[in-house]
Amino acid sequence: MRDTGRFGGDERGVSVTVNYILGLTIAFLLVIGLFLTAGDFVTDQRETSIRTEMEVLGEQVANDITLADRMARTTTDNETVVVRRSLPSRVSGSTYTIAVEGGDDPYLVLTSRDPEIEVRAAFANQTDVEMTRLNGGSVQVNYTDSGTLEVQRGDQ
Amino acid sequence: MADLNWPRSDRSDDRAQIMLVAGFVLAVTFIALAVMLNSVIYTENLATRGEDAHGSEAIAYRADAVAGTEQLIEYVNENQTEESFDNHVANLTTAIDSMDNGSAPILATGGDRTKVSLMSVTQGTWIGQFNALRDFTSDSGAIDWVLDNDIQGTRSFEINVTDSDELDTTSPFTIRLASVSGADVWTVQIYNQSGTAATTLDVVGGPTCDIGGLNPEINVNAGTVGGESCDGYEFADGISKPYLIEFQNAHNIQGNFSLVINSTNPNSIYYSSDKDTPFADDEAIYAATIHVLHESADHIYATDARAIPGENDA
Repeated sequence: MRDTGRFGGDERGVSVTVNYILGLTIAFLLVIGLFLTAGDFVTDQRETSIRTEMEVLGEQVANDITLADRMARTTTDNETVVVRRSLPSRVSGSTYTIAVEGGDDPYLVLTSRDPEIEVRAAFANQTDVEMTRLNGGSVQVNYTDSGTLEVQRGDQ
Repeated sequence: MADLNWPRSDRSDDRAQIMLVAGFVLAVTFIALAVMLNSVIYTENLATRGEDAHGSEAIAYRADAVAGTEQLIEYVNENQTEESFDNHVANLTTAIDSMDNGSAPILATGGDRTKVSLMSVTQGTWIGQFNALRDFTSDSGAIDWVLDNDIQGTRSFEINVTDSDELDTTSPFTIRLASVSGADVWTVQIYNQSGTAATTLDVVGGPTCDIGGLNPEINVNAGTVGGESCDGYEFADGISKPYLIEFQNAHNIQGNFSLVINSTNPNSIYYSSDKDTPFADDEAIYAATIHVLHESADHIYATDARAIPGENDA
């Protein structure tokens, strides 16, 4: 028998199984830690991207309403005012709704379904705007017969 | 003793499976992240694109169409004076169609479909005098005379004073507007205060302006003298329609004048057919209503618009 010190080369009590389980455990801990970190990072980034996207979309629709308002104010009789915009039906994989709220002082509210994130966009208007809610996607702003602006689905 | 170590050669390929799976999952995760960020970049790219719907162009097109129609109305009135109102309307229709045919192909290259069409025309009377050496008395010589007493609107009211020495301060030339049904009166006097190289536009109960130099062109609708505006001046302020227009002390001014009124009942005793003395052409066009269409893939804009040349000059 070789003599390499008091414990050197002595593998008694350290079975291969224990060795293997120790290795597995450390690997699992590392991997799970990595998953959690990456998962949180992705979730955070997704929420940020949804918010950013909806802010942009909200500003675009608000711009359309402002434009339709300006156009409507220059009309007299036999008038037609329609402003169309093609928007994505999903933001970062989540569906969303576009709503006009606020009564006499209206503003836009964009809400994503999953995760639920709400973004508001303000606009200036002199023509009354109908309170509506519709799913995301192509929209159009119409000047109605009753002299108000209405945000509708783009295919109407 | 049994060998507790697995033969290295048999198991070595199975090692690091967890790492492999973990690496794969992480790779998928980061690819998803990349795709997501890409959509954000796309959306932000959308945000930087211009004003999109050509709405401002549509509004500008409407203004251009109205301005063009106003020019055509003026042209038809001034250059086809011997013709009937129906002929004027036919000529205006042809001219507007030509204007539309000229502009539509140009705008079509930018992706816009446009159309201007004449909807209706309001008949009026063109009253004027073009004689640099004559005062503003009526054809029969009356110094106080009513141009018309059933007026629904006045436009392009211009006076060209050819000799400021004829203007009088004590009994100045006066344009008086009075409501037919009420007591509303609006009066403006035109005179030259001695020693000043300016013409005075004096609204009774309103602003008084010494502006414009001598022998000026006066736009009575806009309240400008020689191109200079008179602050606070508002033509026919507080006058309800219909109203009458009267010249008073018409012998104390000399030059040309021209106006178009929304009425077809001028009092013929004051006029002649000769443009050297006051004339009234009741076959003229006062205003027109056009229909304007401006359309592209992302907007439709259509409306009627009223073209009344010179009514809203300011």
